[in-house]
Amino acid sequence: MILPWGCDNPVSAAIDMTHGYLYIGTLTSPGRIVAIRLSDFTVVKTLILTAGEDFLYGMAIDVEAGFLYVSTYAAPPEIIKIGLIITSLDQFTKLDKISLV
Amino acid sequence: MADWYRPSAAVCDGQECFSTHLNQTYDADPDTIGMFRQRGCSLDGVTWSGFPAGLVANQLRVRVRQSTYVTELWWYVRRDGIWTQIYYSPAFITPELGAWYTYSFASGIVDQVRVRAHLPQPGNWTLFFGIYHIELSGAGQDWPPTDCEAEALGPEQIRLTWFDCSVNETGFEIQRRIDFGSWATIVTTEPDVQLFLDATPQVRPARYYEYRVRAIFLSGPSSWCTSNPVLTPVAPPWYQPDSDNGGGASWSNGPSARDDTLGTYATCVLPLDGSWSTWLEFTFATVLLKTTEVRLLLQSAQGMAFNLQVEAHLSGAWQLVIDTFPVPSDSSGRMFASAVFAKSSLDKIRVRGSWSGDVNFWRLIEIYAKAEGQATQYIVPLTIDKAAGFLYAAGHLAPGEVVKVDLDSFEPVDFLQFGPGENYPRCVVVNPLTHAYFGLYTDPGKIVGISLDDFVHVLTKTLAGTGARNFMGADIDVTGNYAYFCCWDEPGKVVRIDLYDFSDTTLTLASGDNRPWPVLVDPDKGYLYLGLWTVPGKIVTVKLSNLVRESRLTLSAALETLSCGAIDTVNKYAYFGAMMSPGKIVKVRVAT
Repeated sequence: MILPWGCDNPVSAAIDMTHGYLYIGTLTSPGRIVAIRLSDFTVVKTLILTAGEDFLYGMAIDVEAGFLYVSTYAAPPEIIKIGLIITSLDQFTKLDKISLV
Repeated sequence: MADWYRPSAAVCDGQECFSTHLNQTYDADPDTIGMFRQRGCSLDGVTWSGFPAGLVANQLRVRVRQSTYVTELWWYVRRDGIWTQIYYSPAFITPELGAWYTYSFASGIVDQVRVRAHLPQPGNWTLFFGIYHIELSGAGQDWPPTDCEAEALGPEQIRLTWFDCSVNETGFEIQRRIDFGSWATIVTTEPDVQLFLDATPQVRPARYYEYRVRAIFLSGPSSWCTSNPVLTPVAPPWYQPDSDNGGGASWSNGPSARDDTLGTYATCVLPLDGSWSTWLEFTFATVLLKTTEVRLLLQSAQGMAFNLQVEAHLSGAWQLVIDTFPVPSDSSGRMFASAVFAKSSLDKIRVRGSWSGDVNFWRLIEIYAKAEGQATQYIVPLTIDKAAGFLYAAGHLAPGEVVKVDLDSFEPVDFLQFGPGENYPRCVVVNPLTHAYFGLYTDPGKIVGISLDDFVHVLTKTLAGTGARNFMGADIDVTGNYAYFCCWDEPGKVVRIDLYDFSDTTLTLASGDNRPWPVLVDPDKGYLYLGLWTVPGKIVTVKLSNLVRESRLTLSAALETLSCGAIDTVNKYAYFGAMMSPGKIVKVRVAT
């Protein structure tokens, strides 16, 4: 699979086997998160973060709570909280972030 | 106090003595820079002169190197016109490389220094004795100060130092100018002073300060010695606690309410029997990560001394950081107490006092804590402990750092710094509710374990002697209680850590199995899959039961440099990301 334009250098990944999605973070500026549906191995949505939210080396998933967390390789770094796709693609959105200052 | 002075001339007494010995480079070979060379029992030597006129000296220091092994040395100074022996070295000197040897003597006006060397036994031995530096310590009549240096100790404090080069000053006048404005005298010190601390309120952050110092004599002032300009740093933030008694401490011996009319933060009447008062506790609105200092400003209403203890709740544990009597005070009766400590997370401070005697009470006017720097930078490994509800983000730093984030409040709540040499965490696995293990990109490879329960560093595993280094990826087999770390190497390696006893087993992969990065464990089927950063990309399968490499899958030429991955252990597919532009994902069927 070739990722959508701009989604270069995948560097982090997390899987939600319960709901059937794979999430990929990119080493780009700004960072991007790609949601891939496992059943047909198709990109269903790409989340483009805002400027400064770059280089998503870190990714962790909490399927039970329904959240994905990505971190930025920056100073100061940020941790961004993203909703997982449970029933709707609209749920895959940036919910919150903290800056570790 | 005095400065050090070097001579400007030297004369060799002996026929084979050939050197001026002035400001030589110490590490040079004595045979090439000159020395005096003796044969037999000669007592020839070198005499130095050209010291500042009127130098009143009381110390001589020298740096020497001896290239033969036996000698005797006599050091002399010409003090008040009379040659005086000040040191005799009987034999077998072995100079310490680069060290200064200092000899003290009664002070007087010294204008020459002499050394004579001797080989005790007659013969054809040749003595090589290199003298690299020679200096006299002293001062003079009406000499101005030298080496005036200013250094910012912080946003609100500057240290000014200078050399007192005179023996008869009545004091030193110090002038200051701010932002290159006009000079103004700020103090005249006592004689023999060489240090002045300038501090708030005169010293403010982010401004230029410059000083000049001159000695005052009965005959008048000396010339000025001007310091370097110094820019005070921007003030780091100081945080005040959000509430007092937040921890529920009772303040039974006096009022504890905040007294806004007086601007005081809390007032305490101390017990009269010498016992400690109860703790007055202060809570910060948010946890201060990387806290380095707490400071308090107090006032004893009757100007009386009392005992003070302050404890800081650092990384979840109370630590006594101030225990003092009396509390230092200034001329206006304000009392200050502060403590500096290693970077820790801070959420509470508590204070108590004691006094035995008459009625005494004190007011706590200000209480602050300072957190320095950013709460880590450049996060690479990120993981969560779902069961406990915390996220752990590690900064790719030297040494490594970890910030703990509460997932409910989505706020950072604690901070931990690894030890020296525990650098660059690149990967992490979590044993839920117990430990997190960070693989470090170091040579040899290291694994740092932290306890999730109390968020403390509990172990460091150094893979010395195994060839394992540069940990890049990791995964955990919770059922088997093993953690697996891969090494960014050619060929790569896999290190299995038994989480019961922390023993290790290292598997070196086959030739061409280079630079593994993503590590995916399928505990159900008992396999581990490694994505390789190769062109084209490759995937190596390792059997967990015996840690044996089983196979390697080479991908198509269009798929290279595998850099991340995830495994669907239910449907038995592995997914690897290829660090390419555009990015690519490859789906691979794994053992079913």
